[in-house]
This record gives sequence, C-alpha cells and structure tokens, in this order.
Amino acid sequence: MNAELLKRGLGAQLRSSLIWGISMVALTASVVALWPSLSRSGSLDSMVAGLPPDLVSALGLTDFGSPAGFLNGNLYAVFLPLLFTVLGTVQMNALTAGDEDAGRLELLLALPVARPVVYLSRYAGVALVLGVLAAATGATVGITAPVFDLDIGAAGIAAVSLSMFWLGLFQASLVLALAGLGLRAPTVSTVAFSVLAAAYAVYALLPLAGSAADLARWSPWHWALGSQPLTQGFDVRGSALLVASCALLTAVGLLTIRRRTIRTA
Amino acid sequence: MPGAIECRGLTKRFGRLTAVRELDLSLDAGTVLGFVGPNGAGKSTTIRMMLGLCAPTAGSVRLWGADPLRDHQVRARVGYCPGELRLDERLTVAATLTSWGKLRHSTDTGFRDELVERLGVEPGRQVRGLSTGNRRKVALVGALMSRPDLLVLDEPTNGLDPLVQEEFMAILGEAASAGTSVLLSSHVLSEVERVANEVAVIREGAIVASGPTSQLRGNLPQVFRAVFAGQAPPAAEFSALPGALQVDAPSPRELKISWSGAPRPLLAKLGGYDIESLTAPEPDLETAFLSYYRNDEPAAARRAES
Repeated sequence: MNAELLKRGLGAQLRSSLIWGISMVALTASVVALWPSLSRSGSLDSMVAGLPPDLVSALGLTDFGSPAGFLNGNLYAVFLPLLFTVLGTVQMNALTAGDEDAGRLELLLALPVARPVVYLSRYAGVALVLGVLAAATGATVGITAPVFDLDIGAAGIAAVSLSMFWLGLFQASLVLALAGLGLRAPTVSTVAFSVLAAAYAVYALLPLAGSAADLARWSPWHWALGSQPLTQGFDVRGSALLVASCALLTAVGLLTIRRRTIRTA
Repeated sequence: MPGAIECRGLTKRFGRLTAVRELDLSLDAGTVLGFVGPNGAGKSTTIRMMLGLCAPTAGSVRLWGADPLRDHQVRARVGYCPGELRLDERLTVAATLTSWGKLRHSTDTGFRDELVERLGVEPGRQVRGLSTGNRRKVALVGALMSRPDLLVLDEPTNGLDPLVQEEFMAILGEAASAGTSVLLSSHVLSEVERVANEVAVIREGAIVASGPTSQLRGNLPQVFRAVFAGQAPPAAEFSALPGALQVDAPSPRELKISWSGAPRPLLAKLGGYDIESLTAPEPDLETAFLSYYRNDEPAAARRAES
C-alpha cells in the first residue's frame, strides 16, 4: 500500500463520505429518538401482529416491541445494511472502473507505481470510510440509547456495527474484482447491484418459500446478520466467511488488473 | 547496452481491428525521435504499450531491456505527457505536482519551480478551472520535473499558445542536449523537424519510413524549377533523361522537373539553354510525410499480404 495513493483515495471520497456519514448518523439518531414515544404507546407489537410470522422474520421485525427488535427492524435488518452496501459499491466503483473510464487512471499508472498497489490503496481508503461510518453509527446508538431509555448492550452494538462494515466491504471487494477484470463502471454497477439484490433476496425472501431456505446460507447477508449479532454478539463463523470472501474477491481484482490493457477515455 | 526503447514485432489488435502491426522501433540514448502519423495511425497505442498501459497482442516492447508492463520501476526513468489529458479535477495544480513528485520519489523541486515559472503555470489554481492549454502545461511540468532519462510526449504542444510553445521547445532542446532521449509524437511537422534528429513515420499501425530526418528528406525527389530567357524547350527533351520522374510546363517559359538521384545530367542539359533562374528548394519533412501518405498502395491489400 502507498500512503500518497491512500491519501488521494480518501480525498476523492471526502465530500461524498461526509454526506453519507451525516445522513447515516442522523437516521440512526432519529430512530433511537423515536423509541420512548413508540414504546410507551404500546403500538409496536400491534404494528406487526397482523403479518405472517415468516414475513415478520424476513423483514427483521421479530420481537419488534423489544429494544433489540426495534433497532433491528428500523435500522439493522434492512436500512443500514443497504446504505453500507450501496456506499461500498458506489465509492469503490468511482475509484476504480469510474476513474479508468474517465481516463484518470492512465496518468497515474504511467508513474512508477504498481497497479495492485493503486487498487489496494484505494480499497483501503474505502475500507477506512466504511469502518469510520460503522463506528460512527455504532457510537451514535451507544450514546443516544441511554438518553432515550433504549436498553441495548454495547457488545451487541459493536457486533452489529462490525457486520455493517463487512457487508459494505463485501460489496466493495466485489466491485474491485469486477473492475480488475476490466468491466466499465456502468456494467460494474449493474452486476454489483444485481448481486446485492440477489443476496438479499436469497437471505430474506427465499426462506418465505420454505423449500429454498437452505440457500440463505450462501448469502453474505446471512453471514453478517443471520446470527442476530445485536442480541447474540460477534459471530466467528459468519465473520470468517465474510473475511474469506472479501480476501478472495480482492485477490481477483489485484491479480487481474496487473497485466491487462487500461482503457482510454 | 539496451536502448531506451526497443520494440520488436509489436502488434496490438482490438477485436478485428489491428491498431499496431509488427512494429519495429528503436530509440537510443540521447536521440530525439519524431513519431509522426495522422490520427488513428497507431501512435498513441504504440506509446501506451511503451508505458505498460496497454498489453501487446504480440511482439515485445522494452525500456532499457525491461518490460514496462511487468516492471513498474522502469517507469521512474520516464516522463510522460499523454495526448488525451485527464487530470484529477479535485486537486490544485500544486497538489497535483506534489503528488506526482511523491509517487516518483525523485523530483528536483528547484527544477520543477523553474519549469513552473518558464511555462507560466499557476500553482494555486484548481485543476477544474484550467483551460486545455493550462492543463497541458501542468502535465509537461510533471513529465519534465524529475529530469527523466526518457521523455515520451504525445502531442505535447496541443492547446499551448505560441509563446509557451516556443518556451517548451527550448526546454525540450535543453533536455535533449543534456542527454535525455525523447519520443515526440506530433502532428506539427515543423516542430518535429526542429528538434528531432530521427523520424519514424507510422501508417495504419506500421512503420513505413524511419531514419535520420535529413535522410528522409534526401530520399525524396527534388523538384527543379527552371525559368528560361525565351521559350522553354520541349518537356520531352528532359523527360527522356535518366532520373527524370516527371516534367511539367506550368508556363511557356518555365519547366518543373521532378528529379531523383544526382542532378549532374539534368544540370548538364540545362547548361545548354539560356536560363534566367533555377531553383530547387530542399524538401521539408511535411513533403516527406505527405509522400508516404499519398502513396496509393491500398492499405487493405498490404494488410492482406501480411
């Protein structure tokens, strides 16, 4: 990795990362702030009472009246994972295939820097942003929960924040692999978002069909969230699968970028 | 000792299109090579292969014996200014140059500041707001500032105003005098003629002529224009001479004789007439270049033969 390239990668993401970060923290804080009024009204359980149990489970609304169920249903089951995965996809795509499409990679790669080092430094920049935002959203829950009487353990918050990070990084790794193979940015987006949609569908929707429930185990969403990290804490197996898949995808990206022709704008 | 650039049988295909075809090219240390050809001739693709940005389909390219695609360190000795220039719009000019310097590990900051001054670069400005010419000046400073052993310049004066062009050509001359090898790809033939001691002409991906600039000009037919004191003699008297390629009579007192080889027989023949004036301008590079492009041998046929 190269410090100058990392700095430039971070600089390129700075503005958009700030906007993403502020939005995520604001969303997180506002959800926590709703807890006192909604819990006191007793309407939370009744809101999901009419839904089929499988659908409740698929939407992450299990035990919606409890603090953990409330946070899962409103943040960690769909919304924050979606934001982290979209962020990982968009930022990584802009720094790899997007930069190549725009012709900016050419001048950089004409300098005495190895292509995998350029990719790895940019990957590290995206990972750093995802890590900071995962920590920021986790810290927001940790700080605001006591203020709004939402009883949730710090270990659970840390574990689920880590899951958000890994989900975002999985998408970033997928984009790195696709960009390394030489796909243009719009194609990379299409493939990465299709994988994201398929992974969510396999994890959350296919189990509704019953017979396809086993397929969920192949989804990174299952690896990240299947063990209910907010209540059950850190899941070694799921995390190991996410780390291994990220490493594999990153290796594909770093190997394939080495010798291929760089596109001109 | 291997030359600065050695291309052997270099070929690049994009699908069914052959952009560069079995190209052989050498550039020795301290040589300024003019690389000329029209748009789409394969100049930029060749240059991109030289920098390891484009993987050859066949053949090889070496910089001082190293493969630029596999050995990124060899690019530390190369300064590059691309034809299609895309800078990072988010940075200032100073930040751009500083960043390139850090990635090169070998910037001569004093020389960089001198170049900034001579080319009129404004370091405090945001790249986003720069004109094409000003962006090119930034790229030229970036290419030159580490005093590389090899400069690869693709249309370096595109968008520069005449004064800056002049200054840049002076800087280029100084670099060449100091022993820097230069590959200068340009449409501006007068510019190439001014600084290059060798020229390679590329047509449809293949080198059609190369050698010292003077030799390329010397290989061309010379055109003699003779104005006679009275009526010009019949053109047939001259077209019968060995060496005469074409004889025209633009006016009753004038003959235009296109001649190949030593002019002694022609001068002897002309000596028999009362001549008012005789001119034979030296063919310039542009004429040489056009001669390679006005050769009507069908490209498709040549490609089929190969």
